Amino acid sequence: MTLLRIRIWPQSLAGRIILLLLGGLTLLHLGSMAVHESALDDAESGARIERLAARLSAAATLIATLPEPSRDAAAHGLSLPGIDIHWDRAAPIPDGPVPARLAAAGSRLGPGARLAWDPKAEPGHRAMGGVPVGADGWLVFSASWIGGPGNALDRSTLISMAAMAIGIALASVLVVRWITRPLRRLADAADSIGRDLGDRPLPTDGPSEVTHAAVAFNAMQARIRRLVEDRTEALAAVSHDLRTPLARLRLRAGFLEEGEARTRMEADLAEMEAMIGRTLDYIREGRDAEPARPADLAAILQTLASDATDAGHDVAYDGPPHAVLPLRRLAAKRALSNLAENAVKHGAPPVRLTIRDEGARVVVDVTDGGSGIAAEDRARALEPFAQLDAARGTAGSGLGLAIACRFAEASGGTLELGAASAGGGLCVRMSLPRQAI
Amino acid sequence: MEDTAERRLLDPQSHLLIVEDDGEMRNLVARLLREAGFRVSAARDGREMWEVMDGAGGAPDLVLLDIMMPGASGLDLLRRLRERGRVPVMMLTARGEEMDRVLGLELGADDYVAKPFAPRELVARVRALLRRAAPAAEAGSATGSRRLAFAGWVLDTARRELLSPESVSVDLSGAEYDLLLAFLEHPQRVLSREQLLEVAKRRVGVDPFDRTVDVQVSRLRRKIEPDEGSPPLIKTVRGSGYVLVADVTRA
Repeated sequence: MTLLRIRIWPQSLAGRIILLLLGGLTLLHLGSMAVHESALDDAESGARIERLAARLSAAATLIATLPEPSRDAAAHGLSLPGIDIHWDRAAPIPDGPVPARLAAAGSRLGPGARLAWDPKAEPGHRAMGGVPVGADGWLVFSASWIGGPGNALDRSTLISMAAMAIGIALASVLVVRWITRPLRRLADAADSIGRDLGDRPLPTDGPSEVTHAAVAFNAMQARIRRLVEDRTEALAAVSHDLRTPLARLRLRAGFLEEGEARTRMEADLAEMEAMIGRTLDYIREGRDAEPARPADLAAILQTLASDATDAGHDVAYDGPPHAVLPLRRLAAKRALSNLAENAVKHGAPPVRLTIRDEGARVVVDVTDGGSGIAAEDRARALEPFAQLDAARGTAGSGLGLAIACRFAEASGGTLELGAASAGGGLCVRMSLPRQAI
Repeated sequence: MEDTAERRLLDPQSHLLIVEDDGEMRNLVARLLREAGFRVSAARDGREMWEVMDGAGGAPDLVLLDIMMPGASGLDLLRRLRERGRVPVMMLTARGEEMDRVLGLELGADDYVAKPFAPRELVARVRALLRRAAPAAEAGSATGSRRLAFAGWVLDTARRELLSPESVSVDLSGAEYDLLLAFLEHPQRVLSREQLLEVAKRRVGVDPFDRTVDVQVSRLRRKIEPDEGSPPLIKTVRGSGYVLVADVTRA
């Protein structure tokens, strides 16, 4: 059903305009052709009927002079192309309704003429008529039609219409594409704003409606950017300011007596600190001025694996001893340590960090042996502050993957979530270009 | 110069100066360091800092300087401290603000601690810095060496960054960094497991045991050793420890 609707009524503006142009022009063409043909018909059919009437009256006069046995043969000899004429003693003309145009033609054939229409007869003999020959016979004729041509859609008409339709279609495709190009640009820009709020206004040219839309769009983009920046600043300021009381609290906790309460308090403080740190990391990613310089990605992953191992987790690096590519080293370490921490905290051992060289790209896989993330939740998991419940736990700020994703994209790479081949745990795949962007 | 160094070595109670605008924070840090056995002066801003520096209590052995302060910022004060001399300075920075940190270290700070810090970490870092500063003062190294070069490698102690002979930045864990620094400060000298264990103990949150040293050394080797076939940079001395065989130059 939907498919049918799409076929008849196209989804795109260009398609609709083309369809409208094509349909409208075809209707116009058909209408003008019909008017033209009918005017032509009237003139032509009048002339033909007069010719037929003249022929019939001449034939009748001639045949009346002939002896009866030779009359039929002579009448045949007088047949016109498309009109058979013969002689008959009695007129075998059926009664029945006669089409109006045929009747009108019949009235012009001469006095005493009769006409009939037999739609069941053989083709070419459906219209029949007769004129009396003296008092003892009829000159009978049969034809497919008397008058102008009944059917306007002949071959040449079809060809001309098809040529016109193709011409219109081609021209309208070009024109409509040109007209809708600014609209497509607008759509592309709207699509990209979700991912990148960079300062790239749309060109404001094209038809005035599209120009208005582009101007409005640019204003909206600026507003959204300002809004996001304000929020980000506020969030950064709050996170930043929270650290001073947190630092005091940490020092105070240090003066408490050793014991379970103090240990737990310090653990809570560490968690709060980590949350604030991640929030600031997320906000800062892509904003700091660290330049990309050749760095050993393998060394970073080895460090992360070593640190996690020392903290008692099953984390190992499995890859080449060195993998050098241009990196913002501190940002890369931040991003990857978030991935490793996520795998330890939300996944299950064993956690493996691997590097694969794919020529133009270097691919880092962080896999764990947990239950993974369902395919439909993966896109959401990459969004900042996303909290996937149930299996992956709710602790944390929901920023780890977002930080890593922002880092990957800012470095000209990608971040994807997938299933680890063995065991079905999560596999976070960061792909980075070997050349600096 | 030699007098000061001697006094510092003889006097177990080092004099620390904390410059911090937040009163509560200042008191807490001062209390923490006092409880750790240091003599502590506190200053609210640059003016008070100079008063202590020139005061009767004697110049401090180490200054802890907060970066974010109203008026003259920590960085300004650091610059002026450096114009006067080589007192070790530890910056207290907000976590992760790398550019601040790098700037501070380039201006001549000796170390930084990110707020909020674990109390034990601060004490450990202060002790480590005092220990590092003492032999430097002894040797009369007024500028303080920030770049240590060995076998084509460079360890930038300001940025805590290790560069390979191909100028590739090679990431080190905290323990690996401390270990490498220990080797670089004692090139071509056999360091025993016990000595290296002492280094490892400075790290916070790690419970070092004998085996830890071997694990850390092997991790460090994996990052800095040349390809197979070339002689190793860090040699195992069976039964006694490890030795860095390369020459170390200070740049």
